[in-house]
Amino acid sequence: MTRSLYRSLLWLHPAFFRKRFGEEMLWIFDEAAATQGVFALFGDGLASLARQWVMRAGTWKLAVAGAGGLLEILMAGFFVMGPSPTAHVIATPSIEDPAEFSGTWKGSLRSRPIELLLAKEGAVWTGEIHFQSQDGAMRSAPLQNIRVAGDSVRVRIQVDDSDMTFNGKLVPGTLGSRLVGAFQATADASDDLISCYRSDPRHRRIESQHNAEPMQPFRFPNSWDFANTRVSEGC
Amino acid sequence: MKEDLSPLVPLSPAILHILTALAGEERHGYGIMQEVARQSEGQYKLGPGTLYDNLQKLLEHAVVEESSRRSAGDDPRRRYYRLTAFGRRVLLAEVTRLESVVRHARLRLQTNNPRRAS
Repeated sequence: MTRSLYRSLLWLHPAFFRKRFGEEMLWIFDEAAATQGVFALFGDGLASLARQWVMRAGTWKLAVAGAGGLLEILMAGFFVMGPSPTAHVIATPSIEDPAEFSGTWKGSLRSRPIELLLAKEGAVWTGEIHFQSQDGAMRSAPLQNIRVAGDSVRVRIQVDDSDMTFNGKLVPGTLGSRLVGAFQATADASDDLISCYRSDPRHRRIESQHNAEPMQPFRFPNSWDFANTRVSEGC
Repeated sequence: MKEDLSPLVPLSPAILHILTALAGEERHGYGIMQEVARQSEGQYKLGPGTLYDNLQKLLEHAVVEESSRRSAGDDPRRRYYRLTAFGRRVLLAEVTRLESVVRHARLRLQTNNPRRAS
């Protein structure tokens, strides 16, 4: 019962933090509940929740912006007897320069899940990729070279021999933000994550569509595009 | 060229304890919590929320990194963390700063014996 409640508390944390540390925190709860007491752990979890949303996720900036907008409306009403035309602009986060963002993109490679997490914390964009390798183990790696311009995002990911890029768009929403877009991956034949695609007949089609390098025996630069699960089956 | 550690130093008490716990060896999250309680003789207890909130910051600033260490029989949810070379310099800078504070405090206490104004 208390474990379920603590898990619910973890689910209230921002997605990036939850995905990164949620399982570890739950493991510590399992280990420490008997010695530290569940009330202390819940208190600490609530404090962490507040810190994550108020300080780390930049929600306070929106709150300040909202308060500023409200104040401007009130001031305009008092002095000019009408609302300020710019008040709504101040209170609304602009997609040109999002004050905060936390979104995910999910797809799969040969039915093995792959997930991108992207977040803006303060002025810094950070992210991670999670995927299941061929031996079934879940792996993760930091996102590199995150470039954001307006609502467009381009990310480069290098894991072992594979070199992947993600091109997409930021889609903020009131009930949660998300990423939409597609991967382009390049790897040699020894790559653990995506080598299975070399025998995929659709792979050739995709290559030719994108005018990539011709396939060579045994070793070849692979290049293909896929969006979510559309080209992920049939390897 | 001298490194600019000013964005990180002075360290918060939680971060100072975490870095001190990791200075000797790499540890998993629960191990850090236990080491912090041990080194403070039970006076400072770190909860998992506080721990990972701070670890997140330390990972972002490359003060701490995740280790690939896995022991047989380890719970798969365990992740190990260790101090980076930069993290050691940050901790050393903080220790030097604290030594200076303590030295000055001792000096003041010795030279300014409490006297009542007559």
